Amino acid sequence: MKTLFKMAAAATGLVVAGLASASAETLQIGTEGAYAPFNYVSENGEIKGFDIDIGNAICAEMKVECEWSVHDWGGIIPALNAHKFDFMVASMAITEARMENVSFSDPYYYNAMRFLAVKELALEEATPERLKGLVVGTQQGAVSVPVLDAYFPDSEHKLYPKMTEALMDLESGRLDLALFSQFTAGEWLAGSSGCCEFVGESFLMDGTIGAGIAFRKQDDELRNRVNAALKTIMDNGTYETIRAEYFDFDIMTKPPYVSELFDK
Amino acid sequence: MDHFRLLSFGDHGWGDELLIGLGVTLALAICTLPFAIILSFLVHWAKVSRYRILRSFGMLYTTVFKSLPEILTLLILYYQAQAIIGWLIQSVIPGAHFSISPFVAGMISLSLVISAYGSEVVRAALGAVGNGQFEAAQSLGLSPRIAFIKVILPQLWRHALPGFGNLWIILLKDTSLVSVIALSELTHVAGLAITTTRQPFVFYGLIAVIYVLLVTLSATAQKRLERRVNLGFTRTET
Amino acid sequence: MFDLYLDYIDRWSHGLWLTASMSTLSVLIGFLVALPIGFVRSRAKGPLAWLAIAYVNLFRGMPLLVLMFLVYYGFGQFSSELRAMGLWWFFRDAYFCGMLALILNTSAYQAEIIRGSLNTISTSVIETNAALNLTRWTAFRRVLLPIAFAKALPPLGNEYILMVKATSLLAIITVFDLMGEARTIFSETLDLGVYYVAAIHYLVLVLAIEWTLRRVEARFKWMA
Repeated sequence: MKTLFKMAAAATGLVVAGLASASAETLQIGTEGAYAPFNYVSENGEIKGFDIDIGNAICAEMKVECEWSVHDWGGIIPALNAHKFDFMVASMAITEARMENVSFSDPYYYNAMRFLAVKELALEEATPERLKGLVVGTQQGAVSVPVLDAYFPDSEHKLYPKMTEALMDLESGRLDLALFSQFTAGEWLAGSSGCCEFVGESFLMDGTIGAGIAFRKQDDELRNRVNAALKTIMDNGTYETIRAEYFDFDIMTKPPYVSELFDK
Repeated sequence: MDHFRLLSFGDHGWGDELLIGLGVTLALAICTLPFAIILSFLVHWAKVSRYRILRSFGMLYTTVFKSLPEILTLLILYYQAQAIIGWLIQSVIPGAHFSISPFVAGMISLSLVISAYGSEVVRAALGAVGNGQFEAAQSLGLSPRIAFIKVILPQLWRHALPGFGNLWIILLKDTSLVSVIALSELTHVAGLAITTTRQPFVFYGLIAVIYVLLVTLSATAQKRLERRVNLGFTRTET
Repeated sequence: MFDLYLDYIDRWSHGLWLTASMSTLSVLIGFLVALPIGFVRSRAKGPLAWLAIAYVNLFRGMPLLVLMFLVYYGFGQFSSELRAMGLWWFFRDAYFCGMLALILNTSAYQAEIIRGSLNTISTSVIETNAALNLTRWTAFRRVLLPIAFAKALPPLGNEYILMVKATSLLAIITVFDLMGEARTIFSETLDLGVYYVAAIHYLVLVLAIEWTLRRVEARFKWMA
């Protein structure tokens, strides 16, 4: 019903943001909604996940109301810059290329990527030579795309609008491998029919500093407030409580960079 | 099978979410239709205008929106119109930000696309009514505006109905494209459901059936309406 | 905007080629599929006619986007069954799946166009055939079909242009036509100019097709 109400509000026309008075500040947060367990939409239509809990904890710390909305990954940065929402908690890796368009908070976790492979292939390692000629899927606009282009040029790359679509194709056997966040891939693997397995080590794209909260470049004041709130929840144990709900291991350790593992 | 559980209502199924998605789909189509029809008339009048600049504009309008894929029009509008409107607002009220919701972006772009085709429906229907009616009305001393509303429009309806009926069906199906800018209509909800349930066949199959039913229902309603408005006229079609 | 074109010229040409070839191929194959269905719709009664109506209503009734998802991801769910049936080589390939969805969609529309043009052929033509002692098959092949085709050309041309636009949906199932390339380049540059470059491509392509169609129509006009 809440969704229906929102829709009716949207239908009445243009939504004015930024005119809200300072006393009851409401911030709009954008996310993708197709990246379990970090952000996804549940059976009862709610947006849920680690990103959402972190975002809400930050809002609670900043004493502001927060509203969430989901956006297509391929257009999520333009959507932020077009004021569709105020900031983005969507497990976005901090990269230099993205910093030309948005600014980031401090990292709130390290999202390493790792190859998933079809078991039948019995790959023991995921090296550029071994992956020659195999079909690797990943998400359009993700950090894994430049990694595949630079280090695995001899594999065939297939780009999907959504992560889950690539994973469905891995399960059906259209893909030989998929390259995704080890956490989301692990979550998916746990619920799959047992078709696939992790191969090789996990790694970060060169130059990435971790997953950050993204802001419009001119919104430095908001970024500083969110950074301060993020630091508080990391120090006072709120972050740990949320992390433990989703993962029984540390997600703040930094994995090796891809250049430490493979040669271009 | 547990497919029934997947589609059940309440906290454990997607039934209620899909129903709301269907509501959004219908709301979008219904809200768009009047704008699309009004635009169709305006574009047609631009194309037959006395002024050359209006005529060129009308031609350009139909050429562009009939050539571009709907999905491209939608993406350009969603991000670009935003920037233009935002800039205009900024120059009036500094610091204010307007945001076009996906629903409104969908409405605008679907209106543009549908009216490009609609202007041709209007042209054909006006042609079927004939210029004589207009001239007769004017010779009775009716102003052009009154002549159009009181004489032409009531007759136009009969000729424009099949054309606009087809456009309604196209519109109904084109709403699915708005899912690419994450409006939670039927197709988008099905996509979200598949993300967690991993049952693409069930959900896409189900919404395919829903769309086919909606279209069949619309076509039946259209036939009935046509039969009604054509009462008393000779039928030429077979 | 110019550099967005020049920097990615290979990708744009690849996308343009895919859009042009996939739409042309699907319209041509779609026509062959539509021919018997349109004929049945126009002439036959009984169960065969019912089947043709069901086909047309089903594939005209669902959005192409949904049909494409259904064929690609929906059938992908049954990969092991399809493997056992020896059909997986077809459904495995995104191009084939996309092509199938496009053909199912366009053949349903084309069948209605063919039915319409067959229905408008006057009875005198059919009587003349009988008077000339042509067999039904010869009459169909040598007289009715060419006339029906000439009559159907303008709406078939429109359908062709609609298919050029429809191929833009292939991008969602990983086939990189113009729209797919545009989306990828956009995801790398985040420059809205990318979509304008794509728009110009579509505009030029559609105008070129319209120009060609008008010349072809002029040649067949005497028959229609």
